[in-house]
Amino acid sequence: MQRSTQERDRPKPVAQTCTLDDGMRALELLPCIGDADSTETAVTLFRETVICLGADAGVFMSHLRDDATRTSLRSLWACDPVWAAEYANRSFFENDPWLQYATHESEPILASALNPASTEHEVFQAAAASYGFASAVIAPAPSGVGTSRVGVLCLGSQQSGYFEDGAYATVRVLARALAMELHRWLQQSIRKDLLRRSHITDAEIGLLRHEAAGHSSKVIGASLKVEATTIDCRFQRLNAKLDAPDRRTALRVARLYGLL
Amino acid sequence: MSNDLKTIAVAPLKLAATGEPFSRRLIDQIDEPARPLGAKRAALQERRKRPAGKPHQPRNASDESGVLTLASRDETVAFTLRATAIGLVVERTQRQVVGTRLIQVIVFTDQPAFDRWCAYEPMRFEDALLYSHLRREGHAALNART
Repeated sequence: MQRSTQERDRPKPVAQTCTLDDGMRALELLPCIGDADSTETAVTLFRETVICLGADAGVFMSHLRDDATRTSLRSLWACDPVWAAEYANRSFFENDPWLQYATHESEPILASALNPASTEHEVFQAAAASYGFASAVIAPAPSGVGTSRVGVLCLGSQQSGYFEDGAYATVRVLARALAMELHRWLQQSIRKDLLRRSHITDAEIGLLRHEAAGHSSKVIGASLKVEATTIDCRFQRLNAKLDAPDRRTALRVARLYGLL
Repeated sequence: MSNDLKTIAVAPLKLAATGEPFSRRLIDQIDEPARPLGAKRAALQERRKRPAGKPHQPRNASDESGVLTLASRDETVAFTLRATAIGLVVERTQRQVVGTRLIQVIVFTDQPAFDRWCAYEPMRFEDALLYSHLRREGHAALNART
């Protein structure tokens, strides 16, 4: 059968089976990912680790429920870039079965073991398979804040049944470690980013700590020897900096982004 | 200004006169879905976030570190381009007034991969000026590397 132009242009798989040397190299790279000082370093190390694990493609996503109306999905793509474009264009993030799995489970799993719960899931899996995830390992990266912040690593192979045929046992362990290191890096990255954008001060962090302790404006005012209305004004400025509608949400944002 | 925050300890306070603990403010559980806003507050928040209400900002901005940011007219999609030793790092941010904000970080090591990705970019039709700028800057960054 004549292959389409898109299929011909698609990058060929470069990865081979994960050998002992590759596994050791992946173990060397893992701590560097968690401590990467820039996005480009993190993505580069991620790409290299994906190849070491014998995969052709890798995607890491971190899902954060900022408040009632907003969620953030940050993602690193070490795969065919067209899959990233398709993921955004077709709004797969609204109904991603792999992300949904990671929201409720912490154990790595083969994508083939997930039964599609809807037509949308079937469409997603078919699309993923055509972009280097014909066989895939899903490794959740849970956090200490439950479903409010969840990470998921997806490692894929263009070769159907690749991970099912024995590679899974080794990859499962390393994939879990990689998912947690990427999650750690992303957590530090979004914290730095929020601090840079918001210009939040030590005094404002102190206010949030009072809020976390359940103190009212009157109590905080008495503690800081200022009027309660002054505390309210400070909270309004703080809420604006964190783009939060109220101080309870500001506290939530601060905790989710690791400011406290 | 330094962003290295110091830890400020907050001791639990008690009423001096009665010795009774203060009535505690409600705190959202961090591991549960966010508390829904009231109708009035939600409407206010939505109005604040509407792009039309925001002050005008330059659509294209470049800082000292060589990071270039390109944004669509309605500011719903933005691209941050960084030329690095390994290739071009593109951060694509897609915002909605309510809903998911999708941020994708992709590395391009060669021009064909960048062009294939660009071919699927919806800004090609929605904001042709932005799209051509994106392609031009992307090509410049990748060519400068080679």
